[in-house]
Amino acid sequence: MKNYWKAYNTFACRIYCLVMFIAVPLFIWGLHFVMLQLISPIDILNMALYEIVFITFGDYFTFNGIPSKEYNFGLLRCTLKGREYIRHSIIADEVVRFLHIVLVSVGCALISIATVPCDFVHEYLLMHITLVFLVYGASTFSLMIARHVTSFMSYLGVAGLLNMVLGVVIAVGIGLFHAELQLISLYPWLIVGIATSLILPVISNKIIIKNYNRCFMEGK
Amino acid sequence: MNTQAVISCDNIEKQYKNFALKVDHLEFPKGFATALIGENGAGKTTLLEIIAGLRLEHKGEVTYFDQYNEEDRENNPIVKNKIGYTGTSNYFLPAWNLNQTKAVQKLLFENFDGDKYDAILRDLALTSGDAFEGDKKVSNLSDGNRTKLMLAGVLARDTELLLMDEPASPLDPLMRDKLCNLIHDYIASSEGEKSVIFSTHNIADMENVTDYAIFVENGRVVEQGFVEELKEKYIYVKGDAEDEAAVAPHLFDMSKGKYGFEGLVLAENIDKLAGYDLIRETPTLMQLSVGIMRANTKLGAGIR
Repeated sequence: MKNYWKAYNTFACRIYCLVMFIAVPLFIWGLHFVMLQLISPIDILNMALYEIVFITFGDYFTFNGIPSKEYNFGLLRCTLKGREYIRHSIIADEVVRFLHIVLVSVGCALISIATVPCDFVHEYLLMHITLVFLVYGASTFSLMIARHVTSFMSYLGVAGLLNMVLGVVIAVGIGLFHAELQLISLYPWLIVGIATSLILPVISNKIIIKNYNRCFMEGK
Repeated sequence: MNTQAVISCDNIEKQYKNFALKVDHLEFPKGFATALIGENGAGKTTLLEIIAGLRLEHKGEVTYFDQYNEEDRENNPIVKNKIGYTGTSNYFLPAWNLNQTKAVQKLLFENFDGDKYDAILRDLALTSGDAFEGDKKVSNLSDGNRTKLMLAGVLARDTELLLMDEPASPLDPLMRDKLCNLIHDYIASSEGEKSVIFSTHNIADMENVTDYAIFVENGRVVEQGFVEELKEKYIYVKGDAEDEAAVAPHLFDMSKGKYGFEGLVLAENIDKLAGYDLIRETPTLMQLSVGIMRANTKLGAGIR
């Protein structure tokens, strides 16, 4: 486990960790607290979208380019541990990202309970859980594509577009059809969220390891 | 000179669209510094990367330390642990800072000595002990400093073979001299167990430390040998313009100037030049290299 964290830390520098694990959660919790005064705990939907955006844009400074053909694994190719190191880093990133989403969501839930206890009905709890998986699945999907784009401006465009589409799907699906119109149940969304959260990280991992193996076979 | 081979290459073939590397048999002597010399695109980097295990798709076989083959290299960590490789670019990820380069190498190489790494970085004037200098990004370093960082990394490990692709090119003259000393110290630190193979275009700067030279042209090894033996095999001659036409057929390579000519001649042919007013010299490695490269080049003579 220690090696996973060490490998992850070689990609995620101190400043990145400070921003992602302290500044971003504080910002989202603060914003959620303010928004709760204006709208109901359904505001968690907005926070979920912010979470996807922060995760995707933050990733540019860590693992950007890693599945792309141009990524040079350099030093890692000089040792048999290179593949293991990449795998450890990616798995740690996936776990840390999931925990980050859980942390933010739990914080938002606690803020809702503390601020508007009457409004925080039982169903919102299920929505929080559903959103944890959906945000994780959506951010993993977004990163699977956006990590191929290495130019910063192009990355902003591609990641922004992906986030927008995924955000609309989640916001309309859960916010409009469920919370407002009560047309659909949350359970299918939960199943979709869990399924994507289980499948996409595995695929993402395989793509990156495949790219690592490919770097020894130039031209393929 | 009879020596053991640290690396043996047999029937190596690597085909690209417009280029093919073909090495029938090549041995790198153990306990010496070997220079791979050749034009741009001659195949030096390809050969080094095949040996380092960075290019797996090729024909032929590489033998390591007289006992391991390429399959062993990919399955037995001992082989790669014994080899330190420095490339020309993108060795460390640009986003890494100095602290991270150390942390990564500690993770990846069991034989990496972090304290030695710090000491080498200080010795190479990359760090001075100031606070927060470990946060300096690799991408903010100059090419020369990035090369120093790579050198520090491989020298901080307990290896038996250093493979270095163009280590001298980005370095300033003082650092090139230091590089020669580092290579010399590395080889001298064991009793003939440690070897260095490097490619270079900075032949004059690296001559002091080059024991063995391999000349690669158009994907083929065209000449090789211990430098001292090569200096006996070839003689450098200079003559006046009036003898040029008569002497030219006997020369291995010739360059003409306004007042005369100069070039390499095989020592075995020197008797054929008796009677001409020639200055004979022992060639430098630079003169040998230029002569051998020019004799095998595809470069044109120039458009006038």
